[in-house]
Amino acid sequence: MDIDLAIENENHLRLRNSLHSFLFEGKKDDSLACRHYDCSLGKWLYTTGIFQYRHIPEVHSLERAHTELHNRLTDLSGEKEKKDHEKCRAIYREIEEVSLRLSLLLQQLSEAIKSPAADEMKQLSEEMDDTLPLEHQALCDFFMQAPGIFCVLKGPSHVFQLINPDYKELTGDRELKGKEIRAALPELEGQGVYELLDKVYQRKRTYTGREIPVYFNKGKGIPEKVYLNFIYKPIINANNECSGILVFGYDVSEQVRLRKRSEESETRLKLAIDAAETGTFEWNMNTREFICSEKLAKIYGYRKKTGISYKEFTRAIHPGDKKIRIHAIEEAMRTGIMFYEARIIRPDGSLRWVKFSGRIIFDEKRNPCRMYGTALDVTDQKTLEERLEKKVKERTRELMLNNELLIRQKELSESVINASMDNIAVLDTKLRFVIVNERALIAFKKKKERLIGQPIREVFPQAVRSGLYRDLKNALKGEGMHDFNYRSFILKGYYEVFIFPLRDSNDKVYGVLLITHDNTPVVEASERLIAANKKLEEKNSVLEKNNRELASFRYIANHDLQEPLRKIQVFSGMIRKHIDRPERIKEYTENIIHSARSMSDLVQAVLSYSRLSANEQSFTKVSLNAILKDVKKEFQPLIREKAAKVSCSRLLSVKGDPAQLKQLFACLLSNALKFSDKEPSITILSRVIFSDIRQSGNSGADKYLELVFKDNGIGFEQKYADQVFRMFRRLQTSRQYPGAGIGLAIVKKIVEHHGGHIFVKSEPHAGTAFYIYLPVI
Amino acid sequence: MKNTGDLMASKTLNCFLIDDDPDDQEIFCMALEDMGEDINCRYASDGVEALKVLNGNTYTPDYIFIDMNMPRMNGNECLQQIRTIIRLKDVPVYMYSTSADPEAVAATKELGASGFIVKPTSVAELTKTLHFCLRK
Repeated sequence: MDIDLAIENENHLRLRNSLHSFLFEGKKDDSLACRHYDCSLGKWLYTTGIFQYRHIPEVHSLERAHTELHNRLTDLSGEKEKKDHEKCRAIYREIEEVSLRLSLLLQQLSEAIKSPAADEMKQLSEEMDDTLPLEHQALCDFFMQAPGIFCVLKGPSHVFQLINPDYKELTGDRELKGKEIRAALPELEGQGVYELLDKVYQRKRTYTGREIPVYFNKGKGIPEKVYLNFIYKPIINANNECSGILVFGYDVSEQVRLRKRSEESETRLKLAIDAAETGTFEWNMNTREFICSEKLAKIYGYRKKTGISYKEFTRAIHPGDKKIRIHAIEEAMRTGIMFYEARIIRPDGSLRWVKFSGRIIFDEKRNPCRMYGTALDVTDQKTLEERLEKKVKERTRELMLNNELLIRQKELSESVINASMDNIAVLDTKLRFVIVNERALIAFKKKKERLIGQPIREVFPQAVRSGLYRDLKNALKGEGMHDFNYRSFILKGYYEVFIFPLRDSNDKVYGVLLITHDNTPVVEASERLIAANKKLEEKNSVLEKNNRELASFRYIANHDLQEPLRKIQVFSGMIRKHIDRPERIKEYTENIIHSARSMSDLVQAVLSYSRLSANEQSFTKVSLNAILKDVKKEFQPLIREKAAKVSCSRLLSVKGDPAQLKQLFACLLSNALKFSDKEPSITILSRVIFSDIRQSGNSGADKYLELVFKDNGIGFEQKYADQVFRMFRRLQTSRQYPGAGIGLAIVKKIVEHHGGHIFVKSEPHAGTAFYIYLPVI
Repeated sequence: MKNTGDLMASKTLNCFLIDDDPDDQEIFCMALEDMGEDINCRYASDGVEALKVLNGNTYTPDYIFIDMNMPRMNGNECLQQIRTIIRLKDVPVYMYSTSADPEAVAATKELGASGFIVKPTSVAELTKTLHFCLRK
């Protein structure tokens, strides 16, 4: 099978073009769907090429590149269907590269196949592979017709071997063949071309360049810039040495320029849009030409339709902001983007804030050539900003003041809390100490660090026992507490306790305030007061008793002393009346004597009653046996007269007033002897009993001596039992049983003085028994 | 005096003196004698004894005199008991005492006493007082 490799090359390059149309214009080309073994090159390769020229390495490379190209094309069709543009672009770039490679390989293969007709071709083929059959003419044709630039550089100094017409045109139609590149194209110096070629030659690595600007001196004196897509491919011989470099590329200058122009116009458009409300300016940095819009002039305070000059433009900048502008321009020189805000001074002297933004356009040498810019009057905005800023500053100041105030308040409240004489603590919702004042620290006998943050039940477990913990828990539920007399287990004493729930603005309890006020002195004072009161009451009751006694004495004076006196008066009057009747006088005189005696008895009794006092200091240990013995001795004549029998058990000793106790025994014995209508039989018994008898006395003792005075006398009805102890109360007429009616009142008083108790049991004609209880100390 | 005379002329007056003091009984008796009227006087030594007599339904005195200060039952208690006896509801009862404490006097009025006689320092004085009482 014969094949024209040049045509194939063109076909495959056309494939790329079709692809471009397909991708960007949507034109469908069936050749794109063609598989690598279906296309004519493929058919040739798999029927003839690979087998016939298997000794030529390029044929295998060609086969791989060809397969890859077709595969990539198929991939691309698929991605295009999926509308994945990003991926399409990537594949397209690969295809471009592969097709370039394929194109190169085809040329190489053509060279290898055709025996070189021309000398240069022959020379080249010799170096590549002498055995290759070269079709020189075809190759030459290929070169001449190849779309794109092509040349072969030989050796480490890159000597031009083969140059196609496009390349020749690119370099300005100069004689290049046989010349080293450095000599042939000196303008490339400094553009990095030589160095790149050296690198490719040395490293034997293909270099692909895209849109690389290269300046060629085409003889017009000014270097002309072209953009090139190219491949530097090292030519490797059988010894794996690099013999030269194949250069293949396209001039893409037009494309790049077009795109750059569109970019530029886009920028302009954008600026134009931005400029709707803004002034615009354009400054050609090379020519110093300055063009600006009417709007800009207006911003600057001019009414000129033609705009303002560059001088006017720069001079108006406020001296204080000139630095800002310079800095912004310096920045723009590096980044291409300019932005600054500055004040300008209008001709009328008014100040305006202007926001400048713009772009610097650079030439190929990265020299800034033009500046497009906009200017926007932002005075109002700025004033607002300034006002805002001022507000913020004011607010900040206010906040700082507030903060300071708060700090001062905090210090104040802390010092107030600390100065408090009460113990103050604040606890959080977990009942941990948050604040403890100094007073409380002293009272708790704890260091601050030991308390703050610690739960109260851990620091003071006794709080649980005392109920304080429960009260604090209740406070967390919102229940406050105030107890005037709180017994503190922590502080040991009596405290007035306040427990308040602390609430935030949402009424939620966030802690508990605990204030305790030491009440111990108050409570102690009040206890003292109570004791004093009790004493006073006792005194009072004594006084009351004294008062009652005084009232009794008044009664005595008014009645009992009056009575005998009155009788004396009556009977004296009778004597005077019957002075002539001696028998009557005798009778009246007897009456007078009787009355006077009873009066004397009464005075004696009253005196002895009033002398009775409850002076415990006179108390000594008194043997009742001895007392009874004394009293019996005193009453001995009467006992004998009445033939009375007095029997007694052995009596114990008590603590008391001996004189009073003697009086007690005397009274009782006298009564027993007096109120009898037969031979008196008197029994005195004594025993110790354990009992709490407090009906009358309040000694509080539980051990008493019981004394029983029992007689067999006239007795009385039990209902008069209480009366017998009252002063001047008599159950019998005084004539029948003489006496002042005071004896038992004295007895009762003596018993009471001794902290004892007395009661009586009696029955008419059966006898009477007095029961006396005296505390045994 | 005329009225008294009429009264006295009509019938014998029965007086009941309740007093434990024999001296006072004697003095009272002397005073009544000095009045020169037909007066019958009966005595009781104390309230208990007096009530025994009065509750017997056989004796209705015209005047009752009660000593304030007596054993067993004092004057006031005795007065109270007498005032419960319907038969005696119109009989004047005079309290008779050595001392006349205004409060004590007021208390006897409350309990239904017709008057209060302070025991005299002479028989004549008592005679005068009794004249006044019986004339009423």
